[in-house]
Order: sequence, then C-alpha cells, then structure tokens
Amino acid sequence: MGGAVLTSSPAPHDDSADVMLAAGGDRKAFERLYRSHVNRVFTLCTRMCGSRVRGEELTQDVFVRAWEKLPQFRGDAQFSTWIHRVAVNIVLTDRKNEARNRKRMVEEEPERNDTPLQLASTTPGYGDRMDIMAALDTLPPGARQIFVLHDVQGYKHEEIAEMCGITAGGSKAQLHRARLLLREALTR
Amino acid sequence: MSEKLLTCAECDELLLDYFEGELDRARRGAVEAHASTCARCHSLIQDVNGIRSEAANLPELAPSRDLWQGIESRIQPAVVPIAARRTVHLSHRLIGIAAAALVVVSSSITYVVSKPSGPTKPRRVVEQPRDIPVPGASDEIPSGEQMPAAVSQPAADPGAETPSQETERSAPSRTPRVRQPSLGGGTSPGPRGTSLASTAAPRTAAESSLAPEIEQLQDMLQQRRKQLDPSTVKIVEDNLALIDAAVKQARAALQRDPASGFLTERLDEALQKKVELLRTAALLPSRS
Repeated sequence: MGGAVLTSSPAPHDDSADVMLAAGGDRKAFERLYRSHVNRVFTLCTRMCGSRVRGEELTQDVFVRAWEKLPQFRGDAQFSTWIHRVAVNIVLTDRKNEARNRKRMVEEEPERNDTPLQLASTTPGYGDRMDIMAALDTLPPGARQIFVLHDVQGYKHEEIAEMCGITAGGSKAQLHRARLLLREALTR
Repeated sequence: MSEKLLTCAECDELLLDYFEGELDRARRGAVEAHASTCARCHSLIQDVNGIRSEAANLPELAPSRDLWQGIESRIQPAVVPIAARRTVHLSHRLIGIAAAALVVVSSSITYVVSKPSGPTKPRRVVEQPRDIPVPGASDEIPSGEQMPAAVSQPAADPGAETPSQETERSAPSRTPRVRQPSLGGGTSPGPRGTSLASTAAPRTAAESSLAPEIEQLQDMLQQRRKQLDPSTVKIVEDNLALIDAAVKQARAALQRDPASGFLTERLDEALQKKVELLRTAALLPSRS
C-alpha cells in the first residue's frame, strides 16, 4: 500500500528544471510547480484536517513554506515526495498548535457530538450509506491523521511515528482504532 | 494454537497484528479459521479490508478556488519587472548610493570608536609593543587607507559542502564566504585562510543567521554571471566590495571592543545590506 496517492496519480513529469528555477527565485517556475502539485497537496491537507476550507488554507501554507525551503531542497528525492512531506509537517504542526493541551494523540476523544455517527440508521451493511470520505470526518483528529497517513497516503508506521512524535506501536493501535471507528460509522 | 478455534475475544486481540501482516503462520491460520466459522469476525475482517482498499483508492480532490494568488502575495522577495530595464538601472544607482552612504557612515563610526581613547583601555595600549602583531590587527584599517574588500573563508570552513547540502541545523556554524573574483565578493581578495571569524571576536547572531543565505545567493549569482549584462555585473561587484569593506571595518572594530552593542548593530546592518543587494541582484533579469 506504500505511496498510495503518489502512485495512484499519473506519472509525474520531470519537475527538476522548474525546481531549480524556483529555487533561484523564479516565481513563474514555482507557479508551474504549484499547478502540478496543488491537488495532491490539497487532498492530503483536507483529508488530514477534515475540512475543505481549512485544507485550502493549509495548502497555501504548504506552498509558502515550500518556497521558503526550496533552496534547501537537495534533490535526492522527487519534488512531489518532498512537498508531500512538507504538507504533512504543516498539517501536524497546525494540529499541535490547535490542541496544545493534548500531548498524546492516542488519548484524544472525539471533538464533536453532532457527527454523522449520531445519524439514525437501522440496516447494517458496510458501504450502504455513508461513503468513506464522509466517515473520515467522524474520526477523532489523531485517529484520522494516522489513518490518512497510513491507509490513504501509504506511509509506514515508523515514518508516521517519527512525524507525529509517537511510537510505531502507538501508530498501529491508533490505526486499528480508526479502522474500527470507520467501520462503525459506515455500517450504522 | 491452530488445533483449537479462537474465541471472538482472542481473535479481536490478534486482529491488529493480523491486518498489519505481522502474525506468524499458525496464528494467522487460527484467525482465519475462526473467521470462517464466526459471522461477526468474518464480517469485521471483510469490512476492514474493504475500508483499507477503498482508502487506498480515494480520488484526488481539488480546491474550490485558485489558491495561487494568495500564495503569490505571501512569497518573497518581489520580482524585478523584466520590462523595466530603466528601472533596473535606477535601482543600481540607488543601491550604489545606499552602499556608499553605508560605507561612509560605517567608516566614520569605526574611526571614532576605534580611535585610542586613553581611559577606556589604557593598559592594553601600553603593554603591546608595536612590533608584535596583535591578533586581528591586520584587519584594522585606519581611515584614509585603501580598504580591503572581501570577507574570506576560514581555513577550516566546513562550508566545503554545496549550498544544496545546507540544512538549518548546520547554518549557525557557517561563516560568510566570498569567492574571488566573483559577483559575490569584493575586488581585492585577502589572504586565503584569513578569516574574520578566526580571530577572537565572536560571530553576531545576525552573522550566523545570514551566512547561509549570503552563501547561497553568492552561488546563485555566480551561476548567473554570464546571463547578466557586464555593466550590471560591474555595478553589483563594486557595491558588494564597498559593503564587504564596511563589514570588515566593523568586524575589526568589534574585535577591539567585542562588547559594543553599537558596533554589533553596525556589523549586522552591513550584513543585512549585503543580503538585500544579493537578493536584488539574484533576481535581475537576464540580458536580452
């Protein structure tokens, strides 16, 4: 499942020329990079934070940060991989800023009480009512982020642990919890 | 374990590792054997596998609006308009005037501050024989003498790595580097290995933070040298030399009076000026 988004998209064209130009201050080249990668970055941000509006704001933050950091981009990974990682870091930082009092994501509780989880449904059966994108929104933020990083984006538990500042075991437990919560949401 | 069917509770405990593919063959077989006889667990495994599969194939989303304008307004620095060549030349003149003014002010201040003032450090003056080199004395430039232009690299500069290898963590250990002759440097190179940082004066915070950017911009300018108009190159080089001289003077004065906040500010201002000039020069349009 590694690199789900990265591999499910069309083969990326060679960005290297635009990356070099943009690193030198060429905004037109950077705009071309933006056009090539905005949807993937937006998808990641939105799925991780659970809001399209916030996803758009975070996407802008990602590209601003990428512009600032581009001179340090070493080119030993693809630009798409690099900006993907920048996006993950931006979203995680945003999450940390938002929930300063929560030190461990595994201890988080659902933040909302008016989620679709409360919608009445009588007939069980996976996939019959709510689609997985809507169900994702019902997850607690920490569980959603780890589910998105692992099952959607294809990161390994060790990578997630490093990015989120938790253990690989914690990432696995959180993922399992997220899957079960999703199932519950989808079968209600 | 494979001989005995699991209970649902036992199966639940193994599911995390089951989905991760981390169960050995026997325990995996036990989970599957249990699931084949238990509708609840069979359904759970099927559902989770379905969720994983669906998650991996979720479609890409697109923002509801073009986000570029918001991004463009936030990224710096501003690009010099390509069409406005006259404006570019005007900018050069302004930069030159600003740099010259900076040098004059800096030279005056340095002279005033570095002028022997008796009461401040009398013992040092008396105890140092004139024929014994004082550390950092080679950097002192009495006003009226020709000013050396460049800040050179320290002998053991770890900056042998390329700019692209720089990281934020390594940045504070770097020193401003000027290559000779180049767009990034002055006009009269000092002795190689003679570093302002190699003397006793500590680097200022601004020096540490600006050094990586200065180096990167210098590399960038060096690469673009052939793309620029020779007269533009000359102007940039001359201005950089002036600023480098101001930096060197401030540095020399700071060596004599390391605690001077005033001198530190002058040094930081000169370095900032250098960064601004390099940024502007790095974005100059190529000659048509």
